[in-house]
Amino acid sequence: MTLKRIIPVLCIKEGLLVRSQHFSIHQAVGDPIPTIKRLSDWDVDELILLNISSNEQLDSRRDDKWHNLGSSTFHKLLQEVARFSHMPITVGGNIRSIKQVDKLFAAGADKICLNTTLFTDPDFVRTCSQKYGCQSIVGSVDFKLDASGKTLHSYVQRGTVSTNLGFYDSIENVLALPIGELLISSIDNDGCTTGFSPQVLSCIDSHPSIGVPLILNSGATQAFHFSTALANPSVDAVAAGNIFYYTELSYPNLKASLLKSKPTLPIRPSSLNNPFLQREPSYDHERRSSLFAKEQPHSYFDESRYSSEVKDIRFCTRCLYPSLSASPMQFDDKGVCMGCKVSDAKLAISEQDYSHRLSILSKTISTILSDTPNKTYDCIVSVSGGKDSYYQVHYVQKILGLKPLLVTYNGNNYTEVGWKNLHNMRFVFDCDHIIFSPSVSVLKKLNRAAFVAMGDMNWHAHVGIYTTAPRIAVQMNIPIIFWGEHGYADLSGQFSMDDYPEMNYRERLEHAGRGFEWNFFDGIYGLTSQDLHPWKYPSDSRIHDLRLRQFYLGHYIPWESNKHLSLVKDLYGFETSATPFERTYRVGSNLDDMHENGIHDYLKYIKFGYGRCTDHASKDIRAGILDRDKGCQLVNQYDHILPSDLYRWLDYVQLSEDDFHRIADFFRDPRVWSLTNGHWVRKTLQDR
Amino acid sequence: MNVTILNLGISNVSSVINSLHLLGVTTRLASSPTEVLSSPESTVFLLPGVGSFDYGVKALHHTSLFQVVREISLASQPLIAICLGMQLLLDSSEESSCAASGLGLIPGSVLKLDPNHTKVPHVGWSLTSPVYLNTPSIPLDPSLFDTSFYYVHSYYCNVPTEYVLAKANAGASTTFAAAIYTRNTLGLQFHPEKSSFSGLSLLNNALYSF
Repeated sequence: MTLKRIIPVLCIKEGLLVRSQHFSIHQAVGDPIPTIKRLSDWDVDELILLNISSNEQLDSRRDDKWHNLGSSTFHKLLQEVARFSHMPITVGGNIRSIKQVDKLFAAGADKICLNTTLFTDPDFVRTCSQKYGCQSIVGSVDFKLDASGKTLHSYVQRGTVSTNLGFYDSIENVLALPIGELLISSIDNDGCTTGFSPQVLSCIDSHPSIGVPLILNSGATQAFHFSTALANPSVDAVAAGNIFYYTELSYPNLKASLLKSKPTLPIRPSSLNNPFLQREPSYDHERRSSLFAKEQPHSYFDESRYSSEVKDIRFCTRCLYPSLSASPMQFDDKGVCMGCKVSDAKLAISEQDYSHRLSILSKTISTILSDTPNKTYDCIVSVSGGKDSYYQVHYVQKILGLKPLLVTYNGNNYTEVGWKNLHNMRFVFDCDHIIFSPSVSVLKKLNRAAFVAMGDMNWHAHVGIYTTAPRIAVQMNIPIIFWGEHGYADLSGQFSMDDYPEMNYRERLEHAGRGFEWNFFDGIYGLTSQDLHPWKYPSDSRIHDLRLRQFYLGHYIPWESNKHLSLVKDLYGFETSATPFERTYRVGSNLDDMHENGIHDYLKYIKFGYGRCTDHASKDIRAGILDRDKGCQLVNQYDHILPSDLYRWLDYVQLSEDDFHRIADFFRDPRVWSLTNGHWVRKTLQDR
Repeated sequence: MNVTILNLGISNVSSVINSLHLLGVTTRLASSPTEVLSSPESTVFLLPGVGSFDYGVKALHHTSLFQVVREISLASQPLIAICLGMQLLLDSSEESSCAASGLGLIPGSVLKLDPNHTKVPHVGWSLTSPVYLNTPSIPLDPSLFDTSFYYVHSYYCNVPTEYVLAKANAGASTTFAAAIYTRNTLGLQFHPEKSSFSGLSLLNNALYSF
């Protein structure tokens, strides 16, 4: 029996993996490689990669990331992907010449996906087929409803130009060509989360048999969307994109749930125990050593990188966010950033919507808890002791009525008031609290090594926080972890408010760790695998067995930091810092780590030309409590400040200030910085 | 472990090489009889292939590997032939427009899948099952075939049952040979290098069993 396939479709735009909606709204999810690697770990049936870039050249240069695709091309990305993907790969997007096709096959494509040329250049399709066989060609047809909402027409050029052909004529035209499979997408349903297009499905049903395998795409997010389509005898495969990015083990969980409700469904179960694949990246020894070459006392950055005057950075027309940022960013056609768009969508959520969201969460929690035997606690709340931690515990305990275990990663950087707030939690909430504190000598080595390798001493904290809670959850059989707000959504708008992303390994490795996993540090400064235990994430099969879920409360309840602050001050005696921060005007955040708002954030300024004040001011502009001019003023006042916690840190890791600046300069992005008469100059908001 | 890939120059060999590297195997490409003859003694030969039967036969002659591949198999040296590579092991194919002769290492001919019974090409993951009766002398655990593999083909091998190691279906009624075997020559209709865990396990076992 030939099984029906479930195929992730990934859109790549200018080197970034994007979430697509109606073929026109694109939100940057991140680097494509870590996501594709996860899909490969999850034993997917097949992959479709679509290049929707406007340039041949992809640009995701980042000197501080391991998965640095850099300035590259789509076929180089494909080459990279083919190295760890042992499933069929179909590629598409703006394929017009046989030369392109040759390059794509040589880079590792198994099939190519053609759309526009099916209608504009049938001879080209025939040429491809003659050379590579019709089984290597997937005909891709995109349909959109007309104004009446009843009739479908096919579109080409990424959904922008109508062929003026209806469903039947479009399909007949394409089937007359030598293609091996047919992919049908709906522009209306792309990214809409409501399921496959009913109009497309009904046209398929009334169409006489389609002689080649049919792949149905666009809009599916729920298990029943997939099971309904898979039950259709004309459908040989279903495809979806966005839903596979946002939750842990999304793909195997989907298949498991489909098979649980219908054991006879002809699909292939995912295997998570592939002994040939390793989840953690492998680090090329030579490249790793080269990252530490900066430590040699007389090594300096390459001046020639900074000769160009033209800087291609731009800023959001509404908030203050730059196009080159720590979190990947996309803009709409009016120059408004996706962070602003998601913020608007969030502010537009009505009270009624929120009560619906909360009911989804409550229902999910009660199902999970009733399915978990021998549980010790209902959930973990990962707390730093900050205002949001207080609010989360308050909400989980007082409103949701759960019994939480509090878990903290102590990176040895607490401020005095932050440490006091943390310890106060056990008393005011009367909870059990585990504070995990790694060895200080290991922390010092990691601080220094991560500064040198990726320009961020706080790798240990970012990855440590996202590892400690899941590790304890798996050890103690606790099926739920609560996190607060999704930081990346908040800043750069990675998804729609209907995606409900949850914390997962990919996010931890790619965003918190920048592609650097614990094993990158194995052997550096004598660190051993045992020393690095606190940063080892539980295995996929342990997570799958526990069915661990990691919710961000911010997707389900209104999240207003300023309100939380006054609430937790009044109810629980939360204390803010008496001394203002040097690099931002806000007072209540990051008391758990004296470097997070300090020297860690200064390095963000060194890399990208902006700092936490830009983050805070942008959020306040989006919330309508700050105007843009005042925001610019604040940014110009704070973003460049060299903070005084630098001296604690230099003393902590035994580094001289000269060496600090010398090494930091390696990370200045040439798209932001120029070197003029020995001075660093950057494009600022005023020049925009 | 070393694998010599018989490179006919007609298909992309990078997927096969990537899979073999993942299994910790070293690979070398051989595009001529001289390169084949200089292979390490314990090497396993691999004949990949995508494309038409005529194209494959022409390439075997063009590279002068036709006779070399025959000799490898007749001398019972380990040989794994994938997809078109497997079809080339047979005598002839319906796909050929000039009645080209195949390698003739396993008796039988290559037939076209019937579009009245199944969608052609047959693309996707198909449940495969071992044919236990025929496998007593094979140094390969038959249960490795008891899973699904990834297939892409429009033609299939019709060979006497004693050569069939495993079978699969396209559509409801078409059964075809998924794996065939004789004298350390293993032919696979599916793509083990594209079949994720099941394919890699099979490939790994085959390499170390021969």
